Amino acid sequence: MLIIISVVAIAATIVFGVIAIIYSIREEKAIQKLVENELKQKQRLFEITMMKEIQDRIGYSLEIGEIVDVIVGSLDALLQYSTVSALILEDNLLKFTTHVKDPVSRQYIEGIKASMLQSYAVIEITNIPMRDEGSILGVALDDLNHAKPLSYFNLPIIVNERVMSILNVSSMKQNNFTEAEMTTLYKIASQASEALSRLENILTVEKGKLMAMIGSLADGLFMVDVNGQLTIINNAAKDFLGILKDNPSTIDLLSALPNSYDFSSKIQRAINHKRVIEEKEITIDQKIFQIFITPVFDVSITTEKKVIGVSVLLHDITLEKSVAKMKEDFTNVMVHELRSPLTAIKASTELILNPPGPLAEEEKSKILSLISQQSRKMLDEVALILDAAKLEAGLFTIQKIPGDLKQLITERVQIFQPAVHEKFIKLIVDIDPSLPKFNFDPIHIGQVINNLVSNSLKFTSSGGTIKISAKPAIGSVILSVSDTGSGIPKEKQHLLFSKFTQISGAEHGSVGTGLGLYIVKGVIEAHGGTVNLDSEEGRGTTITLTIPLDNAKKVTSDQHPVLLQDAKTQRVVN
Amino acid sequence: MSDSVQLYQKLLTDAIHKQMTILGPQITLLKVRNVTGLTVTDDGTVATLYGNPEVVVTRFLEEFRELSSPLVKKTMQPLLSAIGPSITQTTTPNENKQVVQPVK
Repeated sequence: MLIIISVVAIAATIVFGVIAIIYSIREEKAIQKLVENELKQKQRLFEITMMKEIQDRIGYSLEIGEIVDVIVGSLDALLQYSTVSALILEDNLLKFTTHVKDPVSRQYIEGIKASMLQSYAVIEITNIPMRDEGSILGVALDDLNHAKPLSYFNLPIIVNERVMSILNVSSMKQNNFTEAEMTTLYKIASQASEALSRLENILTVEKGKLMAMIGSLADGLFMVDVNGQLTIINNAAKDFLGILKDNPSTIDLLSALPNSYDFSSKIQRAINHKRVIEEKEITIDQKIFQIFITPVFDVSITTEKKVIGVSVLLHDITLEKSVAKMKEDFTNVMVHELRSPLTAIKASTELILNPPGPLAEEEKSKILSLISQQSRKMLDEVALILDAAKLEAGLFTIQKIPGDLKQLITERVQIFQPAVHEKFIKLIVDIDPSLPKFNFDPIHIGQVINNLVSNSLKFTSSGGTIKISAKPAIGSVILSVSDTGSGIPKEKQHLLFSKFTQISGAEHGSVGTGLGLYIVKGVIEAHGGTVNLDSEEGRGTTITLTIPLDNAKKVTSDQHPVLLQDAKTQRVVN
Repeated sequence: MSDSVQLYQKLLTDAIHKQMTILGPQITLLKVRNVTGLTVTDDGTVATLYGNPEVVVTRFLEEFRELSSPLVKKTMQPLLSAIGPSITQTTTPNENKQVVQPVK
């Protein structure tokens, strides 16, 4: 019995012992698994935190140093190390920085640096020069410590197939880093590389868009960084400055600007004072520019305004200045044109009111005729200005009535006969006998003929010829006035029909308001016609008018003209 | 040992030595030793290569792609060329994976 009890007790002990061992092993495994899971969770959390911070730091900047700072600053949370070092590519030079945690020797750091440079050279198959000796941060070095980096690994950060940085983590202890720890860091470096590559691609596309936009500007634009280096220049700026090179340098830019314009000091002033400098009128190569030098701020820094360069805008105001001068000249001419008849009228009336002696009826009649003639001249000038103002405002109207263009031409030519004889000019009138009668505004078309013949007279020298011809065409009448005068230079022809434009007639002693051809164009366009200029300097000018035939029922005097809105003028139809 | 296996062994040894310089010996050897079909000495020389060499090379490349895909592309051209484009393509599904969201 005792034996049986003893056997049972032993068996029970063995069974319970085995069960206890099994549970103990299971518990140990569970604890081990728990620890592993905890470690994995910790590494995953580290990875996520690092990536979040890297993303925040990247923003819109490709500063690789920012990413290196994040990784270096967070490394303590993942593993134990003696040094963490970075090799960063900046402006085609390598910059070395190391953060020392354990007091290693200078030789230890030189070994690490050599390993990183070798790593860089093997990947890029080239050697890049170092910026300087580099910087060492952290605890003081101990050159008596002969420990070597027994554990280390390099983390390349490759952005769009270019190594931008290599990080190195080292330890004096053998096998200090686990595969999981190192893999976590490689994953982070790899993800940072991808994020930077994508950002660089986005920025390249955006830069391309920006360049296209800048390139299409009519104003000239270029940018200079704080070191005075030209970073961007558009085609308009190159044209304005006469720069022919595709990629001009700062020296090309400075030599293109006028010597008197102290560009460098103005840039410095814009940078130092952080404000826009405006130059109202700068003449460059016979053109006049308004120049705005504007400081450009780093948008990634929100706390303070850091200037990273200046943009320079060249706004061509040559045309505006030219128009202003034309207006000024026009005012002077008008004052002169109106003052002459007024002076004559004043003198004539004073002569009648306070005659020096008794005036004969014939003399009185002559004086009154002069007053009448000068008044008409003034009225014509005023009518011209009013028509020009109406054309400008889009309120110009014509009144068409059935008319005989042949008769109108003949009448108008008669007015010029005395002047033609005086200048020994041959005047030819060639009117096709089949020229039909049609509806037009005789007052304004008469004015057109006057203006054209008068211009030809001004610019044709003695012995020259003026020819007026009119002939029918399909659906229109073609009226042309040609002369063998001085002609109009090609570069001025486009201005001819503009308001206030006067082609110099100084050599012919001619002056005028400059409104004549502007009115011609307005009148013919109001008739739905066109004006064509054919001129060669030294050979003469032909102005051809095409006036559409209008044979509609005549307008009676009590009918009001109908205004039709046209793109340029309002015209009358009947 | 066939010539092709010898060739792959040499290519792999060269690649390992290169990675030991680039990444460091410790991480390189740890990763290489994860590759089934390879045994490697401590100096990075491939001692034996068993199984289909192309499959082994593919596994090897995959192991390093986990560390840095652009690095593999930049530094392992001889191995990538050796296994041909079809295998390379089938084994690089993660090359363009976008783990980090684009910056907004």
